[in-house]
Amino acid sequence: MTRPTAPLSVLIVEDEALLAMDLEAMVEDTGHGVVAEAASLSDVLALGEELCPNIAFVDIQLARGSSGIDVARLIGQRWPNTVIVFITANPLKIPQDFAGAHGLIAKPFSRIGLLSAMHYIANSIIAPPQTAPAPLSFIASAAFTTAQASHA
Amino acid sequence: MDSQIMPDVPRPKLEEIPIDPQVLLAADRFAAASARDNPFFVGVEDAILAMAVSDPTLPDNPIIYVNSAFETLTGYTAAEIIGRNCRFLQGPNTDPADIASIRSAVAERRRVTLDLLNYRRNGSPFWNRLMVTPVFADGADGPNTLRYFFASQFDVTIERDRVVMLEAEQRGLISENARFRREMLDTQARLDLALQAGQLGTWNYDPVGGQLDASAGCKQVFGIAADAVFTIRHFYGLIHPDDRERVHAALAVTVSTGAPFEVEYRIITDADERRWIGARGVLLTRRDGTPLSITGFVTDISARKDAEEHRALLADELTHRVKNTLATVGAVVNQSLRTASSLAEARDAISGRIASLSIAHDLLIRDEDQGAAIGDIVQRALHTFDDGTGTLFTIEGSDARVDPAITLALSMALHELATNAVKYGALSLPGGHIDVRWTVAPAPDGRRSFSFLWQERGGPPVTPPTRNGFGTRMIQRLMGKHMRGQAITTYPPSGVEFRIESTI
Repeated sequence: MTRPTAPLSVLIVEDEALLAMDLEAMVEDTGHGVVAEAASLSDVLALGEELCPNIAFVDIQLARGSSGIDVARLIGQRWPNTVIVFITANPLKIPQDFAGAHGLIAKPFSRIGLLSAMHYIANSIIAPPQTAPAPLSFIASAAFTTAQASHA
Repeated sequence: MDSQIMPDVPRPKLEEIPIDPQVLLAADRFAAASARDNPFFVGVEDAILAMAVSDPTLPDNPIIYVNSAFETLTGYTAAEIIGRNCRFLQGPNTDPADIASIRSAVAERRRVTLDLLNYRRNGSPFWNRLMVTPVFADGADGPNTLRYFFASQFDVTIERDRVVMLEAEQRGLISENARFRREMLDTQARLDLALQAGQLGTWNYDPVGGQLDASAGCKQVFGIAADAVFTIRHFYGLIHPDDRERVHAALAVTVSTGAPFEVEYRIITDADERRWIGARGVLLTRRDGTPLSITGFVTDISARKDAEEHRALLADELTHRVKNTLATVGAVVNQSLRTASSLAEARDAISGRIASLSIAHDLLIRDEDQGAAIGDIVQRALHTFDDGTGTLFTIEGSDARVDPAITLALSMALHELATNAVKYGALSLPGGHIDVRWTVAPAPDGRRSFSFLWQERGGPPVTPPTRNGFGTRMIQRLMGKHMRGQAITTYPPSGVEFRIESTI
């Protein structure tokens, strides 16, 4: 498998339009690009198979009563190589196994916090294994560590 | 009767009542016949016990002999007594029934003993333990005929007083006991009422014998009929499986350490009703410290538990909302700074947008469940842009409500449109006007179709912007996210138009 190179493609799953906009701008500030946005589970289902983003930022509480947990499971099945990061104001709602996701960023986040998390995640994809310590804004799950090990 | 409170009474004056000389003669004869060398006679004469002899052959059965102890006991001298019937010792409080029983014994010539209230010469009463027995002899009327009555008297006042006192004490104790019993029943009744009012049930559990005693209130808490048997086995059976071990352990700790029993647990009643139970108890021990029983109360705390759960949910939800709101504010600030050409412009944009967010939240707090009415959203969002003359805006539409996400989106969108209209559009010149119109109609699948129009006129000629500003991008994003359909801004020269055609 060829290792992804910059700029990475990012999927944003967030039902608050203002937050999605902000996130998109920040992702672009790091030199990567947003390839799609979704506000609900059905929006994600409607995305093309070929999209295959490198990173997905997923909110937990989504539009039309859908859950980011289900979105994470769906992304995990469709695009197994996508690094899934929850962005949530309620980290306690995330299950123990992270539903297969690779980490989380707590809301509200600072611009610096998001940018450093983005750099860290991008580096782990482009040049694994990641040796620098994780920024405080990013909480890695077991799946993240496993993915790192398999790349090494 | 208590001699302590029995007054001395005036006595009949014996000297005024004459005595038949014949009787005195008989008494003399009896005295003369009594041999001074007869030990029985001397014994009677000097005895401590008062004794008397009467002669029933003479009229009215007069006393013909008394010993000196009799004189000492009654206070009368032998001279006063001899020749009289013994009834002179009676007085006002002497029981007529006692007198009657002496009379019948005398008449039937048989022995009698009884306690009789008599009076001394000085009028003071005393209890006389009297024995009267007939004496038979061979005489003029034939062999073995009634000749005398012999009587002995013994002062038992002290003994009688004791008895009377003890009887009085006993009566007192009985009534005291009855009072205690009444008070106890009363207290018990009050306690039962209080327990009932507090919806408390009491129980007692013998951990050694495994015996459970539950009050009717306790059984009610567990959904069991008041007259049904409630065993410890049944009790454990009702406890929610997840809580059973915990309750068992808590009881064991109380039994082994004497620590107070205090535990809250769930039960599923036999009628399949879920309840939360609060239980407290203390260990009672024998003198040697070994456990005797645990006694305590239970109460149904379902209402409190439900309220606690609800409160926890609300607190969770509030935390989530506050964090989301802060994140939104952060996004507004970031985006405003990113697109502003100057710090002053950024400041105005940020404060305006945060105010707009605040307005949307006001609407949401008021109409938490159904969402806000579109008319309210428009009025509130445009309020700060209206000069109060009623000439700037024409606002028309149905009173349909939209969900919270659309409320926020529409409110923010209107703020951006109005801000741009003030800066560059219809509201930047006198006489400018904006029409705001919408319709909501039923659509397939239980959804609704929502059409919205913002149309400016009377402003300067419109030139399309060279790049999309934050406001425009935000409007499109907001609308795209929360509605299925389109939100389009067009720039005809006559005035900016913004349309939404969607299903919601």
